[in-house]
Amino acid sequence: MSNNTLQEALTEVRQQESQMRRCLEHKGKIMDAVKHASTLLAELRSSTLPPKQYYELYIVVFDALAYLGAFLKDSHPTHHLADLYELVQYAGNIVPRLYLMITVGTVYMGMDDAPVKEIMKDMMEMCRGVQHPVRGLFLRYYLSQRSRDKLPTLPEGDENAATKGSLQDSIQFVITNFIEMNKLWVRLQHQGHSRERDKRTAERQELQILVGSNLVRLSQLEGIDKTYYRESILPAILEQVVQCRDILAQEYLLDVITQVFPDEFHLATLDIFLDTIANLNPGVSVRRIVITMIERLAAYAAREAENETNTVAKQLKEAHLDDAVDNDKDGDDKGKDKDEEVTDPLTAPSASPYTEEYHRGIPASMDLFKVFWDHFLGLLKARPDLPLEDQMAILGALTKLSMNAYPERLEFLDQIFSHAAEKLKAADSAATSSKETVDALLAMVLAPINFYSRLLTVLSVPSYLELLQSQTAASQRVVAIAVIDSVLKEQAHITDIGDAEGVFGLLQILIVPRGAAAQSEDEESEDVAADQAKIAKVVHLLYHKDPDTHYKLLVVARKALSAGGQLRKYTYPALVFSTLRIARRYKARESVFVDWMQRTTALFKFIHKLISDVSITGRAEYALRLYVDAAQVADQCGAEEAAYEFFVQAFTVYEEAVSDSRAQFQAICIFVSALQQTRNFSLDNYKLLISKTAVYGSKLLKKPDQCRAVYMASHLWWTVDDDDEDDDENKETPEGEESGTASVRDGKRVLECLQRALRVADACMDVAVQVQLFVEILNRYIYYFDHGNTEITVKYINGLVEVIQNNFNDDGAYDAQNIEAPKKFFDRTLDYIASQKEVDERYESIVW
Amino acid sequence: MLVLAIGDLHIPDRAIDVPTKFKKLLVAGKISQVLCLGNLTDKQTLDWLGSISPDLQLIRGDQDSQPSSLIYNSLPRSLDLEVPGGTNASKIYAGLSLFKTVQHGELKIGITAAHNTLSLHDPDTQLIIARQLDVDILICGGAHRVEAFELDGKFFVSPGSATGAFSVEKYTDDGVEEDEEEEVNGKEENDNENEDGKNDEDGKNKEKEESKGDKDDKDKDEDGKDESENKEESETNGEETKITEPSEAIPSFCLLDIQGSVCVLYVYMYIDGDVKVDKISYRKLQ
Repeated sequence: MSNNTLQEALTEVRQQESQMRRCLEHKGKIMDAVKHASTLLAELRSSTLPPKQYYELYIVVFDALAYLGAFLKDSHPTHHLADLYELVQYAGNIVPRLYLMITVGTVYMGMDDAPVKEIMKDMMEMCRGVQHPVRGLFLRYYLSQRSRDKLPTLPEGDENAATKGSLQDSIQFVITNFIEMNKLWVRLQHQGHSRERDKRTAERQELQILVGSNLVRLSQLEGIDKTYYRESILPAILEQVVQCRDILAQEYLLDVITQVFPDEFHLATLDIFLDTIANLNPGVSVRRIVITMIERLAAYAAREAENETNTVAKQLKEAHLDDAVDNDKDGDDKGKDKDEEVTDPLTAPSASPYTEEYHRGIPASMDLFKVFWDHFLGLLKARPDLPLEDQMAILGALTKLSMNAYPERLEFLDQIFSHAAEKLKAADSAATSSKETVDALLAMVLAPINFYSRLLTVLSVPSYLELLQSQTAASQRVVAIAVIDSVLKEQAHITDIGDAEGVFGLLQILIVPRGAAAQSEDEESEDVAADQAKIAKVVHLLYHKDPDTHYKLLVVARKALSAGGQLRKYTYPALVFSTLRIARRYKARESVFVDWMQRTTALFKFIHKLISDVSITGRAEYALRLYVDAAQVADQCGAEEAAYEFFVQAFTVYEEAVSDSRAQFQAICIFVSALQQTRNFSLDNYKLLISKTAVYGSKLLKKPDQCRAVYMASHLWWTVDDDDEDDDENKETPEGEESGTASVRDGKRVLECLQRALRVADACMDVAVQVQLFVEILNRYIYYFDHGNTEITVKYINGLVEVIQNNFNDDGAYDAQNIEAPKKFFDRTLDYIASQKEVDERYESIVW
Repeated sequence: MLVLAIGDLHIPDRAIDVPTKFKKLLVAGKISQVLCLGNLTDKQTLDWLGSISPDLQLIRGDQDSQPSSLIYNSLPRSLDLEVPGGTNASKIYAGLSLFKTVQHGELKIGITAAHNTLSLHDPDTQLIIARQLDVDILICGGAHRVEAFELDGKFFVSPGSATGAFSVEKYTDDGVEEDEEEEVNGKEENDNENEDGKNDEDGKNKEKEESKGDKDDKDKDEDGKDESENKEESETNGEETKITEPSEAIPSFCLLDIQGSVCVLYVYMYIDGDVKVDKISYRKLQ
């Protein structure tokens, strides 16, 4: 319905516009054109159009009038604007009359000889004639738009100011217009039916930008200094804001003020601004207004801090350059704000009796944080009903401000956090658990972690941990993850015991298993594993150049991680390997620490406990592996007792917990591999351990596994020096240690093993498997033959070759297909023997 | 074609992560296949390797038997491993997934973890495995140091640990390493001069060993203080004047550039915050 009205209106406007244009273009009939303009303007008298449609109409009218305005400008002074200004007063209706008047008047303002001041005054007066809210708002918006670039900016004392107007006149003009528009805007709320109030509010929101535009205009006027802003402009605006007592207007306008005026102005008028907040309609959401201002200044401080470092860097750089260049650059590169900071004392503005120093853009004489803080406390007194979530949100913004403007003043953060913690304690649970409160708090506790590049900074804020621990588990977890990510990103070693305790304190929530779910140990989610992996990585960041302190750090970590219950299986291995590192570092200080052996023993006891805990958490096979790793390192460190004990523990785990036959086979491979590398066992101990391993091998369930384990075990009686292949580098095992296991070479036992392996292979029913095993054993024979084991004689090799050949010839026993792989392996082995004949005459006697 | 050999990552139990500089080098698009030599113990790194090339081949390392290592549950079925040595042998080895072979051009490559073969310091046992698998190149995980040598016409490579993870292997001290380093450098020039004539000088045993570990760079910063500490201590002890911190594994991996019967091995090492690259070439004897 109203759409039709709009369409009709638009049609009428376009029609009249084209007639107007025709009058102007072809005949220069200005009076006729003005008449058409007046007719089309009559459409703006509508009071049925909703604001949005009225706006559409306004746009079309505006364009039409712009055309008229341009034409009038060109035809001046033939058709003198002063005359026209008088003429249009005769238009019949007030709305068209005033639009025409403004059109002519603002064009006239742009002329050199115009009595600008008088025109401005007159237009402003006349506009009072329209008191219908929507029509009035648009009329004044038109005034504001058209006069935008014509407003005078002459200083007060200028001789032309009396006629041409001054900057002050312009300011008054805009402020008056603003005040009048605001009144109209507020009045709109109170029109019509009370049941349409919400609709009315929505409409007003659509129109708010018209009112706000005045403030934008004001901020764009050049030459306003902050003293004038403080003394004349802001009080006038704020007076209107307070007086209107309208919630929407107060919230919106204070937001606009915060957004459009420069940071320096805000700093200079913060007290006035904040005092105003106390006088607002109780229904106003103070929170948003305060936060917007705090965040604006916090961002400003952050920007300025960056500039400061840049400036300092630049100054340092320029100090080496030519002075003249220096001066030139100053002017070009630095904006106004920065100039202010670096001006030397002699040329500093004389407004203040002393030279202002700036820190992060904030005058040193001003304690910005305290200003806000006092205001916040005052606000709480004035508005005891301020919702908890609002309080927390404001505190969150203050956190940001404190960090950006005063990064080194951690006591401010402490003040905020302890206040928040107190409030939370006092509040009822419904308020503390509301989503908004939780979110606000989470943002607050996360902020310093993300802000300080050195994470541990937050640890020196006493109340931080208290506040953190009063958060929901979910929030704490988010913070803990942020902590870890930050620590890992930094990659800096944690060297201080207190820091280590602090970090693990922050991670507490992740370390401790989540409620009842953790009791069932079967399937932890991937998330849990990922979190725990991160904690494990933190363990690797613990480091100190002094191994004793490093050890203490790990003790701290163990203490913290011990709360993990089943989760320890993810984190303890990292502790084990970190501690093993220390064992090596102790070993390196063997000659310096008189009691290094005692220290080392203590370490291995610590490790022992760690691994047995891993074993308890159900990772038995992994514990086995860890015991073997620890044993190897203990052996290298000369801690024989510990090494022996670790092997015994590994064997115990094997016997008690490893039941899968594949796992058993792999465990034996691990035992053999590790034992073969040990060097410092006494011969008795070594023999005990290797015999046990060999026995395990011979007890494996499946024949092929058994066979392989047994021939692998043969290597235990034939140690190969690490550097055997580097002919002249044999210093790894000094003479004194020859009594250890470095020299175990018992050819006889090797032969026994291989022969036992052959017997096991012989018992295999599957010929293909059997022959595969035979070839594998043949290769071991050749290996030992090569290594000069005199027990392995040509007789054995020839015998085995013959057995294998017979097997292949007995083609009834297998499918040729199955035997192909072992056959090829066998051929390759024979090729190798043949090739060795060229370099080693002992091979000559191997024949087939 | 480029094949990446990488292994022994041990994240998070022994190391935090692969050096960022390695990660920047190893991105999708250039590498046709990734051979991972075990001890790939976290999902994130698995995903990363998978992103380098969809053709990701894995074997089981010594630490991978851990039941809670979620990673193996999350592997796609197609990654199930086939084992060389014939159908029966594969039946025996199946599930353990200890060995694997791939064919590129004229070269057959085998991968395994060292503890299965006792090969950590014993080229002769590695030779048996290479013979058994019938491969030209055997890449062995488990030893946390880079190593590459030729033996009996076959090429043996240990790409070391990509994270420089703590190794339980016995460590050597600095003096020995420096000697090795020089030797390596000398050989390297040689390699560059007559890359293709390499097999001419092919003896029975030709070895090249990369340095196993400089001093850990983390310790570097604190060196100054360490020394003063040492001075104090040295008064009580006449002979030893300097504490040498145990060397730690250097993060490393290998790239194999395979063309026909020639494989050029690029060894990447992360030393003191920089990536160092060495080159060795191998040609299969016909």
